[in-house]
Amino acid sequence: MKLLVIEDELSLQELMTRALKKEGYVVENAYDYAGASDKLSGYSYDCILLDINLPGGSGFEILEQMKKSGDRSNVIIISARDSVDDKIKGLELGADDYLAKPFHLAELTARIRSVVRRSQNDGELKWKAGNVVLEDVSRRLTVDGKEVPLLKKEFDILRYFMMRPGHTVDKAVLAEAVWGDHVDQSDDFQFVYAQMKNLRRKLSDAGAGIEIKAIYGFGYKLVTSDN
Amino acid sequence: MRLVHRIILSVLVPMILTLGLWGWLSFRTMERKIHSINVEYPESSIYLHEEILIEHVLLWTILLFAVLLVCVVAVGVIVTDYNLRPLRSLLKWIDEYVPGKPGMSVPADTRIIEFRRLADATQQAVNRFEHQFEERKVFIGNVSHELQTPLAVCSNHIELLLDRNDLNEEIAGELVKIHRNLQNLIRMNKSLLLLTKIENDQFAPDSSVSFNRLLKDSLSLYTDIYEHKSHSVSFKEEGEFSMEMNEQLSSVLVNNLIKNAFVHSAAGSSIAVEVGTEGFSVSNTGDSPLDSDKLFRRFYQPSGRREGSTGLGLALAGGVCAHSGLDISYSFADGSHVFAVNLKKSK
Repeated sequence: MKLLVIEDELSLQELMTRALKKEGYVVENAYDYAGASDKLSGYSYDCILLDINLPGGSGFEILEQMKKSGDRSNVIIISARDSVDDKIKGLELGADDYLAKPFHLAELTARIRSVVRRSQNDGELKWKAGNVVLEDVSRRLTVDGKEVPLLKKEFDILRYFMMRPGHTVDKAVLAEAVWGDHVDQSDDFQFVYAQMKNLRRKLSDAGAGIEIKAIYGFGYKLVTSDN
Repeated sequence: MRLVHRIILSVLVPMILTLGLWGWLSFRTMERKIHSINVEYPESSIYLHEEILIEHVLLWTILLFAVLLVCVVAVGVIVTDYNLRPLRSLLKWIDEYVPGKPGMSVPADTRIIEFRRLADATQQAVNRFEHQFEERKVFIGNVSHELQTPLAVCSNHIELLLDRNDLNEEIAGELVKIHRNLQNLIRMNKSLLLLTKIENDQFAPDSSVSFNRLLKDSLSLYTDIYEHKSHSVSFKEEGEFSMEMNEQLSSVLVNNLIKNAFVHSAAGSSIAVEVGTEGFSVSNTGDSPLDSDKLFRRFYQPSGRREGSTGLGLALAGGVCAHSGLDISYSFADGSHVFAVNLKKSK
């Protein structure tokens, strides 16, 4: 799969490229408006990561240009301007998602995966790992075809890990993603621990081929049992 | 002492004294003149006429003096008062002045040079102040904005490192500590940016917000997160409180107040939320009253710095209220900290 990263901040661009290459994507770069429109007119990409503030033009102009030329690539806007108006404008211009800086790299790869899958499966999102299937819209978990009932938070946690297989996730980051920005770091995440315990028990009771492993006491990682 | 009083004292009192002296002297002269008139009348009748004449002259002199006094004082007061109008309008303007609100210029519609200079000097001072105020606001905004990318890059580098398989537990632990502190920094930076945006009026009211629903949602979220502290939580609805405001800001306000109550109360203590038609209050049990003057300032933390806290929560709540026409107040009653948010009473 081929991605184009349009980002003027070179340190961030390099970092995103490295992380995405590690995920097995082919990554190309552009750092200004002219370079981006050059690449877009010459090649096609599966997904484009687009910064709004670019030297020589704005990301919105690139979106408009793509719309005009009928380019249906997936676009994720990455912007330092975390404003609702920008988000709405971007989505109206045909972007598929909006990610505000600063973001976690795992979040970026998860968004890319989710955007690409949505465009491939007509909106129905399914996450598979081993014998486990998680349906995004109907919020169903099946293990070997049998449904396993999950509580809301348990589902959210599992979904978070299914979108980031093999990544180590800090408890603090997980708590923020599932419970919202309001969680506080001073409470040692006992609420995460309690939910996690139930979720792991349900997974092992159902005979799931995946496991959420604790890593060094600070975080978790989703691993498939056979490797 | 008012300026009018000072003028009466310094100008009118000598004037009145001089007038009085002059009146008295004229009267004495008049009296002597009357005595020296030689008219051939019987002794007794002349004496009588003289007495009456002197009495009349005295009476009229006093009357004249009194009228003159009243006139002089009245004119003095009126003229002074009239001439001080530019000063009064300037004072009124300064009283009503709010920093950062554009479109207000110092009133300078006077021909009196001194007042003109006063108005000019005030205008210059205000311009300087306004400029500094603006600079400071822009600076905080820019710093927060510019910090975002390097912060993201640092944090992402650590995330890349954490995914490596050749880490040992010690290194991973250190990395996670750095990462969490960076997250705190990122959160603090975001809050500062939000605060700046609020102060810059970048949030317009966009929907009708029901605080009853917001409070209920927020309470259930935090009850969930702080389950292990087993607070006893009560929610009392005495009416529906809703108003036109920015949705994002309303949730910042409610979440910060409720989170504050959960974070700053001991395990097992009680938290009470009440909502009425005019506003709502959030209270939690505590030991001693807090300094209500400093409470809504940035980075004020009475109980020492708490790990992972930005110290901006209440400053944000205060900022939202000031921006949205709400009053926020703190009080300590019956062993509870009470934060009350009410519609601002129109003056």
